[in-house]
Amino acid sequence: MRRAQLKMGETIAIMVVFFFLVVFGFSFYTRVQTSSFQQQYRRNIDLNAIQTVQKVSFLPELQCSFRNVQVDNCLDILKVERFYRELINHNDMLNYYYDLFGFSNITIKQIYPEGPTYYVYTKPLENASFSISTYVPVSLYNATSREYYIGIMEVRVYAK
Amino acid sequence: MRKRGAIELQFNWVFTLIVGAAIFVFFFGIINRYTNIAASTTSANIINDLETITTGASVSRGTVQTIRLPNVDITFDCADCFCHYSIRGVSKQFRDKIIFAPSLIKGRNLIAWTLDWSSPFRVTNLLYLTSPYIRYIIVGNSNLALEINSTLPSELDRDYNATFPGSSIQDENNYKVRFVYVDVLPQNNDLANLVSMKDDDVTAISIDSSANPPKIDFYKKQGSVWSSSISTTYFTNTEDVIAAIFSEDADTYNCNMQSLYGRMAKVTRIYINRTYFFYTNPPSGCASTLYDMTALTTLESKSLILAQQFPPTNLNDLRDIITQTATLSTQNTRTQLWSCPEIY
Repeated sequence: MRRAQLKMGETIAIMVVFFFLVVFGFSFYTRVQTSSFQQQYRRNIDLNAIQTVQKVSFLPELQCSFRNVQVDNCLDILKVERFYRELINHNDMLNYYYDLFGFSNITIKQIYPEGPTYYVYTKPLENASFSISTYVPVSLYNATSREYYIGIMEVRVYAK
Repeated sequence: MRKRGAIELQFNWVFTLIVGAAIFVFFFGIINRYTNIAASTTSANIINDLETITTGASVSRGTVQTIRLPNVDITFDCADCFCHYSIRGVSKQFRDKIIFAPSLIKGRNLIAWTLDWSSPFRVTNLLYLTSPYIRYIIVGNSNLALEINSTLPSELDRDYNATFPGSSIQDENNYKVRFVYVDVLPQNNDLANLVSMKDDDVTAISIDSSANPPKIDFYKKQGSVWSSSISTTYFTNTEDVIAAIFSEDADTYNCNMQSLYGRMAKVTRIYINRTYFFYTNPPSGCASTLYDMTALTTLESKSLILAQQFPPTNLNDLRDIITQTATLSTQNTRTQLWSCPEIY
């Protein structure tokens, strides 16, 4: 009877150690997975920021065009101003462009000659845990005076 | 004593069996769950990478890229015009992108091709996705047929036939075959050697460029003959025709055309505002009449109609788009002649 009890105790002890190892291994694996998910999440946000920059840089609503030929890295000031006015005055426009830019702020600072800051899109995320800013040098074209200025476009993408 | 030993022995076996089974079920459950999670994670990663690739491709004009992918099936579908692509059950909506693709892209290679869509100002880039294992057979000798043949990228598996190919078309084990009849009607003889393929995998479009507005009919193989026209839709330029070539059916083509005209309405609104500025403040030496906004406002109103329904119930809306596009193009040329700021 004692030998059987001893055997049973031995078996239970092995089981306890075994399950302890399983639980330990499982929690270790979960931690590694969580860290990997966080890295993946961060990577996706970085990719999203790059996509937003690409989209805004090549948007026909903002780009300079001559005889329907688009000029890369050139934004038409008249288009930029009218685009932003449409966004703030018409909800349907804001909703449409939210699909393109999501939660982000897009502004252009005229740096040479020093001039105003133009707003392109403003929809920041409340309680955002972090944001990624990307700066792109652009030409600004004034269609009225037919002059070019130099500007810096800031695309700030927000994430939780 | 012997009886007790026998019971003890039996109990040990039963105990081992139960615990063994419990451990087996436990680990099987964990492995199964994590296999599913790993598969979903891989699919989600591929979808995210594909999203980045398509965004990059869609902003660069007139480029063809062959993209290497893991060997997964990518399905494209438009349900009630909510278009999305999926990999093993993980889906992503097209959202702002206008993508024309077959219902299934198989294999490790994906061909991504972009073309500029203007009417007459640039509205967006159309993104065409396909597989090098899908075969495109162009039939016809009209100018449009020649233009399509010269425009399609060499990366595609395509054949050009000025006359009906008939039985010279052999089954080359492509998983899909699309016939493109340009200004001619589909011929049943062309299916002679493709009868063994599934009906859904052999499809055709017939383009009628002389109709007003120009139209496209979609067909499907039914045994050894072509079905009667499944549906009819319309086009305004060569980019639209190519979009129809790459689309699985008329519904997916029409849904993407709706998105395209929705986008056109937004771009037109910015041009209306910009042109109005020049109309009210004409630059010196430039008459305000150069910035007449009739063509632009018509383009906006008609594109809004087409964004709601494509093809439109009243085909005059599409005809108006074609005529006003030409009018605006002439108007823009006039601003150039007067050395004035252009409309677009």
